[in-house]
Amino acid sequence: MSWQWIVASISFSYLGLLFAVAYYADYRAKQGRSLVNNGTIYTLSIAVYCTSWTYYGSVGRAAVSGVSFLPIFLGPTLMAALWWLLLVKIIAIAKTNRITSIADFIASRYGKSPILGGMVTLFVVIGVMPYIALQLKAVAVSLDVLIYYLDVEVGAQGPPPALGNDTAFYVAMILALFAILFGTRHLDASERHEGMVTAIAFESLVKLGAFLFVGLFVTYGLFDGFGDLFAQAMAKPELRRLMTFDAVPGGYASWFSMTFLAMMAVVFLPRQFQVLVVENVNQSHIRQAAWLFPLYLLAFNLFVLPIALAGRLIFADLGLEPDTFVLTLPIYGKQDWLALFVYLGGLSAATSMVIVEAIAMSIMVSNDLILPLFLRMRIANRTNLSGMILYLRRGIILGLLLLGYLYFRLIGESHTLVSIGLVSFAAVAQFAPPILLGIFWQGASRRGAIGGLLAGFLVWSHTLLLASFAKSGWIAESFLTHGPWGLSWLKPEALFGLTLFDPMTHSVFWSIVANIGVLVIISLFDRQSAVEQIQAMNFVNVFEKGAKGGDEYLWSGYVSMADLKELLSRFIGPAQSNIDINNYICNHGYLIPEDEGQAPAHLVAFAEKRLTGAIGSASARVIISSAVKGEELDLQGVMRILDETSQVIEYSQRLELKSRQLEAATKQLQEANARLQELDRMKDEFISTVSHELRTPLTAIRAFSEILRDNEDMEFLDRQKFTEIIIKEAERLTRLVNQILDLAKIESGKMEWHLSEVDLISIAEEAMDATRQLFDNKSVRLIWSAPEHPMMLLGDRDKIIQVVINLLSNAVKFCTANSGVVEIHARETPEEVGLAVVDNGIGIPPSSLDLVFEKFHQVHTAIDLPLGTGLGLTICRRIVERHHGRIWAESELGKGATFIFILPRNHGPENQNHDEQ
Amino acid sequence: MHLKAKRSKERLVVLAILGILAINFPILSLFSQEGMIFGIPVLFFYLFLFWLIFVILIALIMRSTPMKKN
Repeated sequence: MSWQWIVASISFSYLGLLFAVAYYADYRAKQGRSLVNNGTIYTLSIAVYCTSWTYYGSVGRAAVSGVSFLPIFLGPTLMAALWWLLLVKIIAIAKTNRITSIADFIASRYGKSPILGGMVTLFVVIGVMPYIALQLKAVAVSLDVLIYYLDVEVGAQGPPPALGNDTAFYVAMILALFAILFGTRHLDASERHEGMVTAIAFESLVKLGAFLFVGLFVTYGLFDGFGDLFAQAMAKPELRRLMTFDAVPGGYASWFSMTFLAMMAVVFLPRQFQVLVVENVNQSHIRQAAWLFPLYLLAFNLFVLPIALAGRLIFADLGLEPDTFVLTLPIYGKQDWLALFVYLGGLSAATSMVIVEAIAMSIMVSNDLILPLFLRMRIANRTNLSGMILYLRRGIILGLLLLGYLYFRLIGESHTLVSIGLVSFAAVAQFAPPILLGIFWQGASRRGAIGGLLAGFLVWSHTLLLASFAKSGWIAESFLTHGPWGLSWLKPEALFGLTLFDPMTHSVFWSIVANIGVLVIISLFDRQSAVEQIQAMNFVNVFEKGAKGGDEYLWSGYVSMADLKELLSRFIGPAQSNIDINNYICNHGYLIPEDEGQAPAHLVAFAEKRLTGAIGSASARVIISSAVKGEELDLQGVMRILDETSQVIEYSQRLELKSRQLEAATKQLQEANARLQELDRMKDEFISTVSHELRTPLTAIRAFSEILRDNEDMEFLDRQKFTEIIIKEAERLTRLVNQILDLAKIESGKMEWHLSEVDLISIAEEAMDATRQLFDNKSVRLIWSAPEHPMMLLGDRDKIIQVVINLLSNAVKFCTANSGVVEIHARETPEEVGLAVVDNGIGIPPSSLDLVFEKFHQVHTAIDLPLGTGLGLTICRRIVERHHGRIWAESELGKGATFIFILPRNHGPENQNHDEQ
Repeated sequence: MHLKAKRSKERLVVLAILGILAINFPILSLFSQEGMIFGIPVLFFYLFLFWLIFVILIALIMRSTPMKKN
């Protein structure tokens, strides 16, 4: 049997197996037992990054230029470290906005702009289309090589002739069928394609397995392990060169730029965006993918250099294409079945890339390129569009693959295709600035993004695409050597005379600089529209609670409930639209509006989002705005609403604060007022009491003086008696005035306090000496009981003496003459000292025990004239209180009274401090 | 919780910067030699060792990253 038939049947069986895997995964998903909801499948699906370009091309590259194949994989490894920052945010944005492609992401971020979406899609088609052709070519070439060498001894002949059969065409058609079956089953692209993802993950296992097998076979089958292989290679000078950096064309600059390109490509290639973002089930899968994916790449690259070196050692002079070493080495080693397996690995690498790329691009082309055109031409006004859009997507997939096949047929033999992988990378790197700036900087504007992308792509196509055309001979050679129109500063590989870098680095440098520069500068001088501002806010603050929304502000016009439902059902089918609207209303607890009534703005916003998942943000916006009658709010309108709302909130908060402050102030004022009124009342009372108290002695003095004046013949003894009364009353008046002054001084805080260490015993004795006359006059006995030692305290000596004198003279006053006894005791504790003055006089009624310390309170006696001024005890209390002590009276009516005061030893009058200040 | 999540993001950024430094000029040029380590060319040995360590570090940081609540 011819190998040709074996290989063909194995190829088609393998593709059949893919269908089975995808079908099984879809079946499981329908049962609710999803296969893709785990980090490993997610990681393996990301490995769609490794295409046949990796599979065959890495070895070819390593065989010629050593380590230069590595940046393509080291870049993604470095990027994986940043996934937890970047990718999580991008996924969150894509999920909240139901974004299904990279074109839609950029369009949606910059105000749902149809122009941007279309531009990105166009660039993707131009930039990535050749990449698909490259995969088809890889399949065709590997097939040719395999079939040729399986029949012919390797090395016996030159390179194989092209077989001329159209395996590549059949493969392309089968892949189109696969993509159509598993990629366009339902319209809403934000729903995942589980079958496709599972098949891709399966293919990732096949290609890794095959590559590891061939690596192990070459290293340990054809050679004696790494040591032997490397030792043999080092013996040859032309191979030894490959082990150092000298073999890398373009040197470190090229190394850096390729690393950068790969970092961007692993996220922003359409197929990568599809599997990383759109097909992501759970953001936490990134935690596993961030290390497992680089590990996968590491494993994939482990044997690249050994295979390359083995190929060069074994096929030293045969002129074999290094890209085919992976296939030809097992055949050389008589391992035909291993060679078949390796071929299947290459097939899986190529097919997985083509399938995902075709699905991703079909969504972009239909949603961002063709639908907006249809809508503009009003073709879309037919009733049921959902079916039409699905067929449109299927047609696009078929078209893309046919185009890829044609591309391969037309220019497949030219060298252009070989470098096309990196050229594609450079193209998608242009999407990095609008996306990365867009998700972190609210100021990036639509016009800025359009300008940046245009500038980037202009430079890219000039320095890479047209240059490669010139190299292929499609454009005159002079374009390359002398620049277009002979303008030497426009030479595509030495723009503005920059000749420092290799062509790729040169192009990446200028295109990225132009892209970022134009984007940033235009944005800084631009004014964003309302949609742009709201979208920018939603994207940048996607993680902040409460930042979401704002869309509904954009819909202020009128649309009836029935119209909205009808609109939605045209795109997603009547049954589905009813379910979705009811779910939304129930989940948010809104009332279901009447069909004739106006649809609430938030429901319009929901419908737009639902449509976005199906037909892209730009088209969804066009369709909704065509249905909503009335003015759409302009920038000023929306901003005014937002501004006014926030201002009103701020004002009311400030008002609340003010009123709280006012309330507190009012309360304080009321308290102060009450205190003032009380003081005023006290003052009035005081004045009336004082004048009354002053008038009593004055009246007496006046009365007795008049008697003396009018009765000249009065007896001497009487005259003497009256004069003495006058003198006594005058003395009382003086005392009264002095005490009033004292009290006023104490109360106003103007009294001077002289602080010193004083002895309470000696104070008491001095006071007793001062009052001895009073006791003698009334024949009252004074009993003094005190400890032998001094009782020291900190205080004002004169003031304390005044207190004791007051208490003693009070006691004498209320004692009966001749039988009265006054006792005075001293007491102490470590902290306090005190005196008690006990008399056996008339006593104080219990109700008056506290009142005696009030101003002008007199304990009335049987005798008419009051005995004291009524201020003595008040002054005592003030003095004691200033010393932080306390004074009180104890009494039983008729059995005498006891006055006690206690002073702290170490405190002193509080006024002392005030005086010093 | 929040602090921990922020910390692991900072670690990842530093790791990426260190990674970019480690496999570019001039550090990379130190390993562009014709010698061998364990029978493997120095440059390849360095790059693959870097790769392995880098992957392990990402895995370690990711393990200590708290789950996102959505």
